[in-house]
Amino acid sequence: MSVRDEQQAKLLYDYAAALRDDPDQPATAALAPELVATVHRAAAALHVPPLSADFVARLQQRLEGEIGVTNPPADQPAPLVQPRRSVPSRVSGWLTAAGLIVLLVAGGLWFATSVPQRGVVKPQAQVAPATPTAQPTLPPLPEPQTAAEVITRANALTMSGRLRSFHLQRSVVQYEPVAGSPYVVAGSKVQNADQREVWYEYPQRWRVETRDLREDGGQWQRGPVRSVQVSDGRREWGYEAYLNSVGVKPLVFGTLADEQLPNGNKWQYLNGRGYEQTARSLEAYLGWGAYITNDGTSFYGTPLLCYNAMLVGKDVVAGRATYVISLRWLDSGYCTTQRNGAVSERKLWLDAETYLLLKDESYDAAGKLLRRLAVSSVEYNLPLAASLFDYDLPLGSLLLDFRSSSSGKVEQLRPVTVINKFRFAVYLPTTMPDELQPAPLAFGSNAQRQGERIQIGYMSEAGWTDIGNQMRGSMQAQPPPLPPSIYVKLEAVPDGGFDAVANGAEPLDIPGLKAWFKPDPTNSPRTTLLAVWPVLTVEREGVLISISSRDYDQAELVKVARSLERVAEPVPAELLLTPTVTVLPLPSEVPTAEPAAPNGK
Amino acid sequence: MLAWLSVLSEEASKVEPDDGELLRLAQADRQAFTLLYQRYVAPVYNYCYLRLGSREAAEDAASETFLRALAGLPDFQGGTVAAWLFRIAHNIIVDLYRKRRPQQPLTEADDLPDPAPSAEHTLLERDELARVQAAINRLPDDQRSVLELQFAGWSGKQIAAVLGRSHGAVRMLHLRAVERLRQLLLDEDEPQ
Repeated sequence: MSVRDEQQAKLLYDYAAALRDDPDQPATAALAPELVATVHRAAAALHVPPLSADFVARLQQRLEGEIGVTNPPADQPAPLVQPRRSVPSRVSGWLTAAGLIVLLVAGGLWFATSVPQRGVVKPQAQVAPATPTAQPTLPPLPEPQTAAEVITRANALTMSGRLRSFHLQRSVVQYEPVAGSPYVVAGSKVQNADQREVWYEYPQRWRVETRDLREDGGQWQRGPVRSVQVSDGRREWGYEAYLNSVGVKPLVFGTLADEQLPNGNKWQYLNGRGYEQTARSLEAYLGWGAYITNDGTSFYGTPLLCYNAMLVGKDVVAGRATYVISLRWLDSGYCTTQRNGAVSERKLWLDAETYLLLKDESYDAAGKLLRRLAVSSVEYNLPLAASLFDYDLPLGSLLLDFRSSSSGKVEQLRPVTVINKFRFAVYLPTTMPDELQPAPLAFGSNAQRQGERIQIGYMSEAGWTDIGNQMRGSMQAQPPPLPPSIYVKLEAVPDGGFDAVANGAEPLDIPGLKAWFKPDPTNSPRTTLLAVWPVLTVEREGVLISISSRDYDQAELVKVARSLERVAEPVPAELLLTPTVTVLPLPSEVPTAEPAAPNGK
Repeated sequence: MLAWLSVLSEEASKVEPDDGELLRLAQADRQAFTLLYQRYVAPVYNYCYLRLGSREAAEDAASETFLRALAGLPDFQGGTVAAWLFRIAHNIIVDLYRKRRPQQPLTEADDLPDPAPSAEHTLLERDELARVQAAINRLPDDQRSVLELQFAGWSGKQIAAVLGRSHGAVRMLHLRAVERLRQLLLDEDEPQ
C-alpha cells in the first residue's frame, strides 16, 4: 500500500461521504477523474428516497409502547438513570434540601405563571389544572465530578423519555454587540432582548411563544406575542405576527449541520443528534446552541472545541439547584483563527436533576457581561393541556407551506401559485404544455440556499412523487418512462453577468428577451447519463431564469419563456430570514378552526 | 439537550455523542433507547432500503431491527452499537431473502426479483442505474458493504465498527471498491 494510495483513499472517501449531502460539490484536482466519475455513478445508483417522517414517528410510538410495558407510566416518572458503578451521593442532602425549596418555590411560581397567557394566536392555551401537586421530586444522581460528566448527562438525559414535559419562561438579553450579530440597534445599549414561554412534551411536541423585551426606565416591559411555534409531533407551525403569516413544515429527522441564510448569514444548529428535526428545532427556540453570525462560523459551533470546560460550583436558578460550568477560550493555534467576537468566557448553569440549561452568560476578556440567557421559572413532568400543541390559524393569516415532497404524500403537494420573499424579482411562466403541472418547489439539490434559488419541476401528476430524487441532484439519472417535464430555475444574475461561454450557450434572438440557448451537443437519448439537458436561459431585471427539458424542443421552451410574468417583488435582505414559498390553496388537512381575535380579545 | 455541549467538554475530541454512554443509559432505563433509535433510524433504514430495494420492505426491516434491539437490550454486552444494530438488520435482511426463495443460495440473493417490484424499481432495472447497481452487487461483500453503508449515511467510525476494521482500512477498502466497480463497468460497457 503506497502513500499515494492512502492519500487517494482518504480523498476519495471524504469526497464520497460529502457527495451524499451535496451532489454538486466539485472534486479536488488531486483525485483521479475516473474514480470521481465512478463514485458519482455509485452515488446515483445507491440513492435512497427520503425517510418518511410518518414512519419514524410511528415506529417511535411503537417502541415507546414496548418500553412502557416495563417502565412506569408517564405520570409516575421513573427514577433518574443510575450509572452502573456505585458512587456515593455526596449531594443527596443538598439536593433534598434544594428539592424542598424547589417544591415551595415552584409551586408559588406556578401560581404566578399559570395565569392563561392571552396570546395573539391561541389565547386558550393553558397549562392543565392540578399542576401544583403534579411536579415530582426526582431522585438525584450521584454528584458529578467533572464538567464532562455533567455535559454527558445533559446530552443523555434531557429530552429523553426521562423528562416527560416541562414548562418554562426564559429570557435572552444581549447587552453588547457580538461580532456578526444581526441584532444591531443603533443608539441602544441593549442590542436584543426577548422572552419565550415554552411548553414541551416528550418526545416532539412543543409550543414556544416569543415576545420582545424592552427596557423602559429601568423596568423590563414585555411586548405582545411576536411569534409562535407549535409542534404537534408531526408538523411544526410557525406564526410571525409582523407578517401575519403561518409556516408549516414537517418534522424531519436529520443531522444537518447548518442552514445557509439568504443574506450570507448562517443558522448553525445542533448537529449529530437524532431528534433535531429542523434548523429551528425546540432547542434553537430555547436559544441553546443556535445563533446567527455572518462570518461563516457559529457562536456555539466549531469554536467550542477551543473552550476549556470546568465544573466550578453550584448555584440556584429559578429555584432549582444547578451545576455551574465555566468555559474559557483557549487562545492558541487553531483556536486563534476560530475566535468569533469578544467572548472569552461563558458560564452555564445546568439543572442538577434534569440537566436542562437554566442560565448561560457570555463575558469578554475584561469580564464584562455581553449576553445572558436565563430561565425565570421552570416546572417538570407536569400534565399539559393537549390543546397547547394544536394549532388554529389566525384570521386572515397567510399560510406558507414548507412541506416538501419528502413527506412522500402526493395529497400534500399543491400547485405553487405565489412565491415571495426572494432577493430578486420572481418570474413564473404562465404557459406550459397542457399535460404539465407545477410540482412543489425545490431549492436546488440539497444546498438549502433558501431565498437564493428557486427550482420548480413542471410534470404530470404521476411524476410528483419522484421530486425527492430530483431534489437530490440526480436529474440526469431520471429514468424512463417518467412523464415529460420542464424545469424552471431562478437565481440572481451572478457578478459579471451570465457567462454564456462557460455555460456552453449561445445567444438566441427572441424579440424583447435577452436569451441564450444551450443545446445537447451529445444528441444522446434522454435516458442516458450522457444526455445534456437543453437549457434556455433568460435574463430579466437581475434574475436568471433557466428553462430546461429533455422532452420539449427549443420552440416549446421559447413559448414558456415568452409567457414569464413577474409575480413577486424583490425583498430587502433584512426580511429574508424566514424561508420562502407560498403554496395555495390550503391543503385539506390544515385546520380551519375559528380564528382567534387579535390580542385574544 | 444541547448537542453542542458535548463539544464543549474535556471530551471535545468526540465529534459524535458517545454511543456507549447512551447504551448504558438505555440498559438502565429503557426510555433512553429512543435516543439510540433516533440516532440510528435513518442509517438503518437507508441500509435496509439499499439491500431490499423498496420503501415498504425497508420500513418493515428497520422496524424489526429496532424492536429486536430493544428486546435484546438487557443481554447486549460489549461491542459497538453500530455493529450491533447492523448485525440485527443484516440478519433480518438475510431472513427475508431466505423467505423469498428458500432454495436460492445466498450468494445469488441479490439477483432475486422483488415479488412486488415498484414502478420505480422496474424503471431502474432498465437503465444506467440498474447496471451500476448490478455491478455493485458483484463486488466482494466487504467492498460492497462499505459503499452501501457510506451512501446509507453511516459515519466512518460506524462503518469501521460494522466491518471490524480500522478507519484507515475502511478508506482503503472504499478505494478498492471504487476501482473494482470502475473496472466492472468498463467491462460491461465494452462491445461484446
